[in-house]
Amino acid sequence: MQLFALIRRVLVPAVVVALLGAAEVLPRAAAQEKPTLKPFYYGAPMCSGRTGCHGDKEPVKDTKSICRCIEATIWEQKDKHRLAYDTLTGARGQAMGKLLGMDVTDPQKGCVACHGVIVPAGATVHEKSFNKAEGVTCVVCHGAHAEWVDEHASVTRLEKFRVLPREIKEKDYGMTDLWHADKRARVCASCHIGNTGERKVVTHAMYAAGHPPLPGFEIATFSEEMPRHWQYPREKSEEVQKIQNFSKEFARFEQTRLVLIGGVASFRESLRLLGSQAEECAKASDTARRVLDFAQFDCYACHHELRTPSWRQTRGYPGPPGRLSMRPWPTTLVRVALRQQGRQASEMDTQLRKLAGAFTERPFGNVEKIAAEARALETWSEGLLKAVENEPIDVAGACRVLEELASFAEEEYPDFDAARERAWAFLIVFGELKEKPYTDELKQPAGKKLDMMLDLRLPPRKGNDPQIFAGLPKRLECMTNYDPIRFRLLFGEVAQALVKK
Amino acid sequence: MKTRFTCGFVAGSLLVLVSLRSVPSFSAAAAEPSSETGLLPVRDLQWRGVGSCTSSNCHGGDTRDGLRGSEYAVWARLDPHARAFQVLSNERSQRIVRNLADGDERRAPQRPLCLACHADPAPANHRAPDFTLEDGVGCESCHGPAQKWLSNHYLDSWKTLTPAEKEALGMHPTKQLETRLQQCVGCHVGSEQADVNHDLIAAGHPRLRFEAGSYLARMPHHWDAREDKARYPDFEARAWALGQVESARRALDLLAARAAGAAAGHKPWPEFAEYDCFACHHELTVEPTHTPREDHKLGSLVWGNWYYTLLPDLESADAGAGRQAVPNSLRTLRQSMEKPSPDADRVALEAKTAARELEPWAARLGRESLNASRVQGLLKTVVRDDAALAASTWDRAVQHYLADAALYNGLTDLDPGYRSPERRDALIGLRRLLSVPDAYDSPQNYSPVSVKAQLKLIEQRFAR
Repeated sequence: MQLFALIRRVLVPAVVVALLGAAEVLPRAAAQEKPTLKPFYYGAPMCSGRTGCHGDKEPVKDTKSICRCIEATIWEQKDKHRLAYDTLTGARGQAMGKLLGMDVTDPQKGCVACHGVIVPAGATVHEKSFNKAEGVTCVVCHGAHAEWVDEHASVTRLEKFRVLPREIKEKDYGMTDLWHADKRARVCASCHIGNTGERKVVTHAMYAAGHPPLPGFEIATFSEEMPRHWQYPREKSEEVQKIQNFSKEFARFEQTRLVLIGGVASFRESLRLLGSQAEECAKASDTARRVLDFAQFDCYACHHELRTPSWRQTRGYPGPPGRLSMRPWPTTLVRVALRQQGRQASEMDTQLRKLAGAFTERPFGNVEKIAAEARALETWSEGLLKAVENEPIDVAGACRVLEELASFAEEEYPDFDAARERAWAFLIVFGELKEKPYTDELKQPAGKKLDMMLDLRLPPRKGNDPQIFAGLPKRLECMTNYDPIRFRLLFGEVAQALVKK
Repeated sequence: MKTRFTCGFVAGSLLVLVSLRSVPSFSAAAAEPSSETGLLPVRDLQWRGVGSCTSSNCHGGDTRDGLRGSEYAVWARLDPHARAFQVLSNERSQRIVRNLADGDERRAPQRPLCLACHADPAPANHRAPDFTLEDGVGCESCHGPAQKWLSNHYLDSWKTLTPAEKEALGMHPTKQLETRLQQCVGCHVGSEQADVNHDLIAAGHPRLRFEAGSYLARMPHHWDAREDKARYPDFEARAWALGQVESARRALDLLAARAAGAAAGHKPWPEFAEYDCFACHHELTVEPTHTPREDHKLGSLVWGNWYYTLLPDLESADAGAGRQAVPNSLRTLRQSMEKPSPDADRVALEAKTAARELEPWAARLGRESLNASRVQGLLKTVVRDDAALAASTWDRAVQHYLADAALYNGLTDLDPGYRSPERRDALIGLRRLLSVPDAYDSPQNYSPVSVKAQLKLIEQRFAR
């Protein structure tokens, strides 16, 4: 009887409290699940159309405003993404289509995944503004969801929406948080590196047909040269910095963080692309398809003139000579990130060894092993990326990044893209440290030499010409004449001198 | 003396093979390759070594009394074959071995793969005491192991023997053009044991690209070339034609060996050295430098531009219309080889079949001479080739040039009236467009448009 009384007086209420507590927890858990957002595709005129939105000619003077209201204007008039679709209908795009035997503007089988906007089946389209010929528009990067568009365009609900944390704007309303370096990197890399799931893959046949080679991608430099239609965090008012949750450290070193995080993210996305491509090959029943598309290999392993003496033969090879390997440029900033973490840069080589072995085991590599090792490395890089995100940066840290970029391991022979990656990263970090544009150093004598060697300037658009083809002969000439030993000497000299400053 | 049209830039490739710097001597006792270095069946015959030929009463004279009797002196002083072993100790060879990184600690002078071509291929247990590897590619490499003919090949009775009887005693009758060429292609094209594949080329070995007519023309003659012309009035043209067929046969045998080796798991596959080097090894340009074939998938590997380009011409001019065996077998092989992942078993079979189809043709070209009319027919067929296709890649264009030059020389030997400065100038113009500063570098400034125009000019001037 006494035991029964104990149960009734103590345990039952305890159970009830526990159940009530669970009832407390469960709705909260439900509230934390991502809501189902409505896919919504709109065109740039929707963003720029009305005065007071993003199509003004002059920036707004209100320092409390998160935006400057000229973003769509900059994009329309200066951004190369605006002309991405036009390249498909232009002379080279059409010539490529003829050689490849396809309609490059076909949304299913063509090139629109990167050069425009693919609208998934069932999505709502804002017919008044959407135009497939507009190129890569706001919707691609900022989020194709009605929820955030409605909230931030609403006169009555904007005030409440604008002060929400960026994470909530993304999770609950679908507005991509592009201040988050990794999130921005994923969006950019999906085209600028590639993504199998999104059908954004440049094949070797496309290159043979005339597609310019995809350059090594350094996100901070490429963001600058879009050109950027947003301000740096440090240029925002204190009130906006508070709304956007920009810490002092973030405001001071946003570009440096972007370089490091973007560098590791580019590596991860490269591996994701490689792994997914290798998996598709490994599953193919036709033996002809069990070979990776050549675009997944290092371009310069084949595409170099044969010259005697050969720096490649002097350097030697990691495995059997003359075998193909993956493109090496994405590893450049990973080494710097490792050093920033206090780890050895050689950890990169240890991690790469198995993947490198899978490539050189036979002339076109072992696709099953490549798939497995690429996925394993993708996971490893995710861990490194999280560590880099959590590491604050200060002046000393930024200087260490510069010192790392300025030095080379003895057996390091960076290729053309890796050299550009390193040079861009250095200029961005240096420019931020000195609080001046990264292109300033390219105007100095030493910087000019580096620019001549590597073609570092990404030319701005001229009217309706994106200038990518206009700049191509110079880039390719620099690529042909590139010598890693001369680069090491010149860059070492330039960088060491700047580090001393 | 008649001015001969020579193939100067290809000579550079031959000279590049051998370093002229002095190198430290090497003790034969320090390395013994395996008994499997032989390229040709040698039976149970002993190799005597170069020293057995060099008596001043035999072949070691000093050329004061003419070439006959001074063959060794010419070979030792002028022939790059004499330095073939020495180059294995130079810096380049050391770098090649380092780059191979195959776990084999032996240096180049000790490796069977290198010795298969850079020295006499005498099995270790078939060498006379005076035999030494240091002699490089010596007399017996081409003339055969001397055990059974050393003491009797200068007797009158020797002259009464047939080529087959001489062969039975171990001497290869190299006065016969087909036998001579078969010695060359064993190394200069390759075999299963002497395979200069892409691994070796990437490590630093020069690419092999043999063409019989030009190689024979540039090799310092330790024999009287007038005897060749006396035996073969069509020598220049015949050496070219037979060289094409023998080179192709050997290349197909090599492909079959590579494919079979790959199927068995001990050779790399696909073998990149089978393909056109410059289809891949070129800088990236805004516009394409090489014109794609219509039947070729954009951006894929290109097979068969060096050894097989002119076989269809040769066959159609030589055999007349109706015979298509060679082009069909090559077409089949090309389709197999240009897949991203060629089926090794299938390629081994197809290559063997194609090689066999060339055997009777080689035998016939060895037996039958080419008169002026046939040589002219051949020349016309070659110059009338589709200029755009011929100019589409450097390999094809060079083979056309070498064919034009050899057939022009051959025809002017038979019909001196065909010689003309205009024709010669047109050929020199083509050679200039094809030259590269270092013979093994890629033709960076190759212009299909200019070469096509020059080929059209040649067609015009040779169309009589």
